[in-house]
Amino acid sequence: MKNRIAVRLNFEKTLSAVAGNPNGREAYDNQAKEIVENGIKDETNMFDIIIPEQITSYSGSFFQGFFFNPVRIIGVSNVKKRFSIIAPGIKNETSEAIMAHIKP
Amino acid sequence: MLNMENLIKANVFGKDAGNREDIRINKKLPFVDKHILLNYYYIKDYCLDEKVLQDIIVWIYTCMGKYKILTIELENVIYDNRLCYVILECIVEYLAYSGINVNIILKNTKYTNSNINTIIDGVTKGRKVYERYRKIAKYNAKENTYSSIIMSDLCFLLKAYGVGEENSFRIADVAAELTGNALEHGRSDCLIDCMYTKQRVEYGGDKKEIKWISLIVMNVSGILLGDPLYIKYEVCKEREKYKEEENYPIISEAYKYHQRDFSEKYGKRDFYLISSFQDRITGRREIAYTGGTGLTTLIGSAKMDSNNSECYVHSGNKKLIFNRNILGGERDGLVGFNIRNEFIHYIPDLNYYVNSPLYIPGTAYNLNYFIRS
Repeated sequence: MKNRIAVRLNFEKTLSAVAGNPNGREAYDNQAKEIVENGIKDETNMFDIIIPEQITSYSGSFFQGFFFNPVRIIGVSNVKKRFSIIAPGIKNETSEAIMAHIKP
Repeated sequence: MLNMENLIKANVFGKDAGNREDIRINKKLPFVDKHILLNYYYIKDYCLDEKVLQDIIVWIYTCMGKYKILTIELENVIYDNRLCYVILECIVEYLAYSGINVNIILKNTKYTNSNINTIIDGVTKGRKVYERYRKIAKYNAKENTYSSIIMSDLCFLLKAYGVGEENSFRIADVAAELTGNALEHGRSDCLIDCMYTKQRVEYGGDKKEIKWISLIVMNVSGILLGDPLYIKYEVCKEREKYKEEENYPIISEAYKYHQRDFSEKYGKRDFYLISSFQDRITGRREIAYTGGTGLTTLIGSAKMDSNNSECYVHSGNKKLIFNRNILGGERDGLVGFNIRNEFIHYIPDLNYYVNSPLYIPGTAYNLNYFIRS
């Protein structure tokens, strides 16, 4: 049975977009690293990265930075299988479309 | 903005500002009308292009330390290159912080290009004719949110101006990526200047509204566009480790072919500048697991929306013009900037990779988007 682990990200209330590779890494290190890296070795764990509704647009480099460490640990294809992005503010973009920015 | 003195010195003494050579002041310019009277610089009936800007910079340098007030009068001057005007503004700002006031007198001056004219003072018959967003992203190694701030601001402002959601997003995305690149690789402040205006123009027999968004992203960090990649693969101690990257064979293969055509106009450093634009190639000093999107985003955007003849990147004394003739179609994320659209086997088209009289000790993007209703 697969476990779903939710990782809720928070951003400054004035932001409506997330961008930049270093910014993605910072968000990962400060808000997600502990939860993700405690559970990433167990292959039954799936991760939902929850982006707050205030964020309505993004740049691909943010997620490249965010997933830099998970990709280093389990590879791109496993990251794409085990991570989902839930971003209610980003219209017309599925989790897969956002994850497509992570390239091997 | 940090390091503006780099730009001034580089244009006065040549690119090695530390080695004081002869001041490049005797350069003759083909002016119709130009007078320099001590602290007063006057041009008439000309355009503010790179040659003129370089001349003004040299004149400013010769006045520094002698005068507290300088005056530049530009009469009937056309600005077909907004980057030059923005650089002049940055210099004036830098001088103001150094205790020198510069008055710029504009008489009948216009921004112009093939699509639109805008009066530079921004007011016609009491009506404001353009909006402008200008921000300096301050470099701080521990603070990385500037890209997100720029993207949030521009998305909001452009949408509110009626540019449309998708176009606003694309332009803001480019600005954010380039800001991120400048801060990360240049480790220096970065200027983001976006001017947007609209005008009703004759188009296909009808009068239609056209929106012009002019985006400039510039840093004068002293690090040129191709430098991070050049240092990563050619200079740094760990270069052999970086050559194990999955995408390095693309670089080494291309280098084999390009070096056959190396010349005064196109050398090793130029090769790395062009390589910086290739998908998944990054100058970041680490094994690239997920990286290298910033400049690819730019190319995608330049192909889709902009009037390519007026879009370029300027780094050092080199300009790469994003003309649609050389942005035909990338192959596997590789863009050759040549008619064949081939990066590996052919160097860029040297009609669009050109020398400039102005030296920018960093990187400046001058991008223009035209959106027709």
